[in-house]
Amino acid sequence: MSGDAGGERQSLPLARTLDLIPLGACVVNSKLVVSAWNRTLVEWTGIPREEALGMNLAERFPGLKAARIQGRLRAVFDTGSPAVFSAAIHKHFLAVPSRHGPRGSLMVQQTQVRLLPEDPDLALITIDDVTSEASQLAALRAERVRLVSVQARLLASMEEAEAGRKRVERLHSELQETHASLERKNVELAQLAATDALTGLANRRRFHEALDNAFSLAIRESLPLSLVMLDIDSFKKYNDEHGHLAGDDVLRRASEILLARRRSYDTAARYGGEEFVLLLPMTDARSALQVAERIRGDFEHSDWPFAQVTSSFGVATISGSVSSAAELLGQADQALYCSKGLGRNRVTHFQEMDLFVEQLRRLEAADRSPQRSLDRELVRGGRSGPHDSSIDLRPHLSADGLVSARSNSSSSRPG
Amino acid sequence: MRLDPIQEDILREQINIGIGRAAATLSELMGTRIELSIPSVSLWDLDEWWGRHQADLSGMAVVQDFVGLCSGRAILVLPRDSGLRMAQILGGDEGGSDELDLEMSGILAEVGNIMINGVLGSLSNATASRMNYSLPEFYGDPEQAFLSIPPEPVDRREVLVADADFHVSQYAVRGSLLIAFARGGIEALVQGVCALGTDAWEAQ
Repeated sequence: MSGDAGGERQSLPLARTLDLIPLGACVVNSKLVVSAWNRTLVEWTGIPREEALGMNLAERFPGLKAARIQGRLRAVFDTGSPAVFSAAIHKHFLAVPSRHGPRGSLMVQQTQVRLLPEDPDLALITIDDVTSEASQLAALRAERVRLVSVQARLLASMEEAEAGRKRVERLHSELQETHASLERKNVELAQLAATDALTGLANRRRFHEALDNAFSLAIRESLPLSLVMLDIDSFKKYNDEHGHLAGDDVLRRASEILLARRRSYDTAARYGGEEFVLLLPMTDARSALQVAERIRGDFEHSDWPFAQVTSSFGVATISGSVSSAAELLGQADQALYCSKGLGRNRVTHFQEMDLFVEQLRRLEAADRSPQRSLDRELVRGGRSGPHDSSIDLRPHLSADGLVSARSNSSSSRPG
Repeated sequence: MRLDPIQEDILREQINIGIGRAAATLSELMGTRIELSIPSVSLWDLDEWWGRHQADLSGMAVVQDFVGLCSGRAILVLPRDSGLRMAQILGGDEGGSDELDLEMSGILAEVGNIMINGVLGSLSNATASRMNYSLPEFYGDPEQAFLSIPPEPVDRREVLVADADFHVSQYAVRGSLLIAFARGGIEALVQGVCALGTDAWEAQ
């Protein structure tokens, strides 16, 4: 396309009008030959009006030859429909230096092309310089991107902090659970430490704690307190004959008998081996003897699998002469020893022992008399079930011998 | 007025040609292929159409008035997500902000201009009549496009609606082109389009 008479056709009133608008404006024909060129375009392009008139716009500004522009410009003339070229897509409709942007940059333009109503062979091109708005928008977008980035970092930090908080919370929870578990284990351990594994009764340690507490309370409040100690008769022989498992069954059954007779505030414990104790708070000597006697009867009448099992009992009750829990325990032990000596399967209260000892002394004195057997039987009879006549009491039941035996361990007691 | 199946078919074809041209132009601008569906064409009572679509058309509109054999107002309505997505692709700012700024509204005005020009140009060709057009105007709220006063009295009761779907960069863009005619405009258009269409069919 080259210049033609377009310049000659420039309408003077139109050109003056175009000079009034604050936009770049020109009029072209379908070949893009300029027939009007306003003052703004002179200023932007540096092309004087005289030079512009008749100039082919696409030759001067080759960017207009791009298919995406040329086709639509042609359509304006073909269909009469106007065309707009946005700044964002096309940037520079006419490549001219920017007046507001960085040095050397091109002006960003927004362009409209429409036919002149009075002359559909000509189209008016108006160009708006939006460089300033575009750069402001670019700055805003950059700032927005920066803010989005800051926000993303902030969110990431918050999420990290939240994750940290949750981690600490979880650790705290785990710690609490561990503490709770530890406490449960401690309770279990304490329970185990205070319990006899075979029978489930309190063990010796737990019993001593209970005895000390009960003794202190009884002394402080002047309350009665009794202690029953029992030892299964001939347990070693039973073990030897029927095996240890059967022996264990006897121990378990013995604990069941004790538990069945125990009141809620009594303490039943396995004291060691086949020896058990029953601590009876608020119980005087008479009642304690009744309890012991009932238990003895329970043993005697229980249905044992292999052979009859009996038990011997020693009972002690707090009196003015008892100064310590250990002494009370010692008295029960002595009484038990006495029961053993008197033939087993019987109950002896410590306070009755003097009577027995006296009776035995008399027996020893009469040992040489023809009535001795009958007297010994009378002594052994007392408060008891069947006796074991095969046991010789003499080595143990002399008054001196008895006391000295109590001061030693119970292992010296007859089985 | 009601369109009979033949009238509807001829209008659909002409509008399809126009949208096809517009899509070709947009493809050239975007530098990417645009896949176009066959548009549905129907005649609606404007209030009824608006009542049905108002909820899901919280978007934007581009308006161009036209004067000629038939006169009226063409309105391209784009749902917000479709409009923003298209503006982002064309502006080379994919994944950018979802705010409709000056630049994006400029892009969408150009998109609307291309679409409306394509369809009205096709209808104009079909009626062998020339129309005069206003420059496109962008509205951030489609309702404003309907409420603004057109240059000539427009029969607000009847609108020709062409719904088109096209895929750009694997993204579905939906748009509705509404053409509200001045009194007697739709009849003139249908008469003009169908007369030529029938002639062409007979000649064929």
